Amino acid sequence: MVANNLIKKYGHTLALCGLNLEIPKGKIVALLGPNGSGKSTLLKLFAGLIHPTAGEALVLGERAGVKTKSKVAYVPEFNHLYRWQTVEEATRFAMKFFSDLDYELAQKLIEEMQLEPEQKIGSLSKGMHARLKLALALARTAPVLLLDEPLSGIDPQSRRKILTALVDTYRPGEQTIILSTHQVLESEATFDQVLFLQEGELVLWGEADELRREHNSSIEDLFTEIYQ
Amino acid sequence: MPQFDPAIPIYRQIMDEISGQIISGKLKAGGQLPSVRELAQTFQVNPNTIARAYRELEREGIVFTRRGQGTFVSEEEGIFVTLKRERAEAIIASFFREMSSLGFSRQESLAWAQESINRGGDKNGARIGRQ
Amino acid sequence: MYTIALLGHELKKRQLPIVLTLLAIGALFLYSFSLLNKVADQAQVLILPVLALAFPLILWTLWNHWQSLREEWQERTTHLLFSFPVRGWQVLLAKGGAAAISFALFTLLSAVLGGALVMKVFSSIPGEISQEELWHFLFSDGSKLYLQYLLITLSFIGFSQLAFVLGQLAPRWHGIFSTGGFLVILYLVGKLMIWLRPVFSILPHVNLEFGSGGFNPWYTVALFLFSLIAAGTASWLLDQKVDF
Repeated sequence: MVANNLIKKYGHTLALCGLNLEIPKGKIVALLGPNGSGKSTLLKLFAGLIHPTAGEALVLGERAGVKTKSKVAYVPEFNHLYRWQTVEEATRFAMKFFSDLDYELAQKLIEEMQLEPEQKIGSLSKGMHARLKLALALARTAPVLLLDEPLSGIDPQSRRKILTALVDTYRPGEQTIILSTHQVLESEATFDQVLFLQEGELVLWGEADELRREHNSSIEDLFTEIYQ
Repeated sequence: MPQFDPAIPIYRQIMDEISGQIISGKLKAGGQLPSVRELAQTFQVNPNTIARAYRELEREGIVFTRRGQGTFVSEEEGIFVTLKRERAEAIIASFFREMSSLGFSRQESLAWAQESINRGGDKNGARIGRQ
Repeated sequence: MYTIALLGHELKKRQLPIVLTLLAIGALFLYSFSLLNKVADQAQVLILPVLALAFPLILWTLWNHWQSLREEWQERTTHLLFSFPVRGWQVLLAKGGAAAISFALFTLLSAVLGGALVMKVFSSIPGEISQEELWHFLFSDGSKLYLQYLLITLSFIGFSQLAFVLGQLAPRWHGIFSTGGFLVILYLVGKLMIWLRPVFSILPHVNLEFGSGGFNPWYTVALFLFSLIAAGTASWLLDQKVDF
């Protein structure tokens, strides 16, 4: 994934100010920063849901668009599934558009997430919804997984289930995962690399363990230090 | 399942954990290490980190990888001796560091240790009864 | 095929309203049929269904179609829909298609029941027309008029799609911009139609068998073609310009 001088403006607000970065294949990369730092914007640009004001967002060498969407599994922070569908219907529906969605794997993950196929999505709690959308993303073999705050605002049990499923299904070297989160302490053992964003710019980046060694601190403490 | 200190490079802690298991005998010479994926799942850590730890251990000659079969503890006798010595040195260094933070010099720390041995207790330095 | 999958999705979502509407239409005609022997002038019975259905069905279809677009943005299911590798035209074709199919179902049911009602009304009037001839008029003239009716509705579906997408391009007050956009589109199309009038008048008319009347069908054909352009533009905007 590459960002070349990526700029995104919303009206007069500059969400991303000429971002240049390269995300290597096959790693779990954490995107950290306070609200408004541009994390969601960057993820949406890679997902092809929004268009750059200037510059480009490349996914596997191509500009983010219809062609790259079949190789990207994007999971937004909020509830984005159709509330009138059941868990089973939502799975079957997604399968019509993503040929890499493995039904059996989806069933297994849904069971592990303690969800039932006949439940209406509209009746799910926030935590259950979070577990479901992650299960549907992990049931795919998409080379890129983009997770926008997969752990925020949900109960500790759901967070644990999500992290477990993430580590269990992750395919190192083949699958690139970018996740943005505020729950740094809980998830930092899963990071390969870390990108710190502030006001649309990259302020620090590096390999997780190298950052720990250099700064003699956990990524979480580094987070607090950078953004105080 | 041990919790890792997030302030220290995790791959190093995994290396220490494995070395510890070798020293304590949990992992025998020539014995097979859990797969990268298994260990990642057990510790809830990125598999790449586990892989790195294994690579570093291999570089240090503590383990070796057989293609398609997995990673195994080295069968060289010298390895245990080396690991034990390294661990002992690390413990001693840590002892001196902590004593120094109390204000004691190395000589003073050594004297404390000697006194502790003389005071009694078994050869492990444990104290018998209250002092 | 993605469009078929999306179309199935739209129809499934609207199962209940569609069935209820069909039942309502049935009930309306049942009531009309029941009036047959109670009213002096049998032809009066036809007024109710025509008034209740002809125009309202168009509005009902357009309204539900508009809602199906609005809901996607309101519920933010656009983040799911457009994370699929689908193009704008596939989404709009599915939504427009679902609207067209439900409209066809409603109007065909109305036409069948209405036709039966007309036959019943005229059978009780001793006149110069035989049942067979009446049936023939209804069928041939009816289908010509029905096609006009259908084209008009489909055209408005297309225009409303462009109006909706234009509204989404605005940073705020999407509803107001959509409505404004819709009015602008209608104004422009109206201007075009007036400008094309000389062309239309040269083209052949369609004859009605009953009463030897006729009409110029080309206005609605042009309207429909313009709406295809509008829908195409909306599709392009969805792919290239709209942020989700």
